[in-house]
Amino acid sequence: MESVTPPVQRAGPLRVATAPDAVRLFRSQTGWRELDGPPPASFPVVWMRLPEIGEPIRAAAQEVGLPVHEAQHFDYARPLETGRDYDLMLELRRENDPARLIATAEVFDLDGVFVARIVSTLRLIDPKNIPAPLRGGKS
Amino acid sequence: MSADFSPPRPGEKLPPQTVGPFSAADLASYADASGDSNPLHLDLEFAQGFGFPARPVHGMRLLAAFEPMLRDWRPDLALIGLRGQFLTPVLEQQTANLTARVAKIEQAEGRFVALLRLMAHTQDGAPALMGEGRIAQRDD
Repeated sequence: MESVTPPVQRAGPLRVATAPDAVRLFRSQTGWRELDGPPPASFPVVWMRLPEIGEPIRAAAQEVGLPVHEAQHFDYARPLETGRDYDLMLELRRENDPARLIATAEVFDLDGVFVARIVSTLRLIDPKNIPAPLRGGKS
Repeated sequence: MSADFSPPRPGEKLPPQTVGPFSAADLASYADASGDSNPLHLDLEFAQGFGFPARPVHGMRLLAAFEPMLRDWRPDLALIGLRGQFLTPVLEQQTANLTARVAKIEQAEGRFVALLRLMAHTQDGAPALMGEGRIAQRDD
């Protein structure tokens, strides 16, 4: 089937935040005993719910199949701080054979200083062609 | 680097941790906190349609668990990089075993950076996650 999703999509700057309530909730669900503290390194996954990120993922899912998280990178030049706004520049790249969606986000503070680079690799699984490792029988 | 700071040593192992078992409610709570509401993790029938006998735990939930593990080991260190590749899924009601060791020490811009090798295994011993962390002395 010919893809209707462009191979590369870019968006940004997108305003994202480390709202204190969201940081506390995330810490509570990721094994932290102290709920007050800085955003965990993996906190930026919450920004994937932004429509500019989520909609292309949903579109690719409808076109190809289920998105399954294959790999994730967070690389920080400086730590995130709670209660701050940041700007996020996004690139979404489609790969074929196997079908993947790779989201690369660069995060800057509001002075334009680089903070972090985040790469999410999603494998797109056609339900008619489920690879053996996904079947879960071993675990 | 402060005088009383003691950097980790290559080969040093963090105390292993077990996370889970994860209930359906745990998966829903993580989905709510993270925004990852992929039905694969929340809808049993949907997961079974993809060949899973039960709902798989979010891979990111496992990767995220390494940071409080690091905090418990060395509160004076902070993650400046975290990478993971998701392998065998951990399923609902199962546990995962997390291990980490210091693989290498580097000096970068006058401060030390340590590379951690991270592994998570399912309760049956299959590799669930392979990753690495980069850690440095906390600034605060």
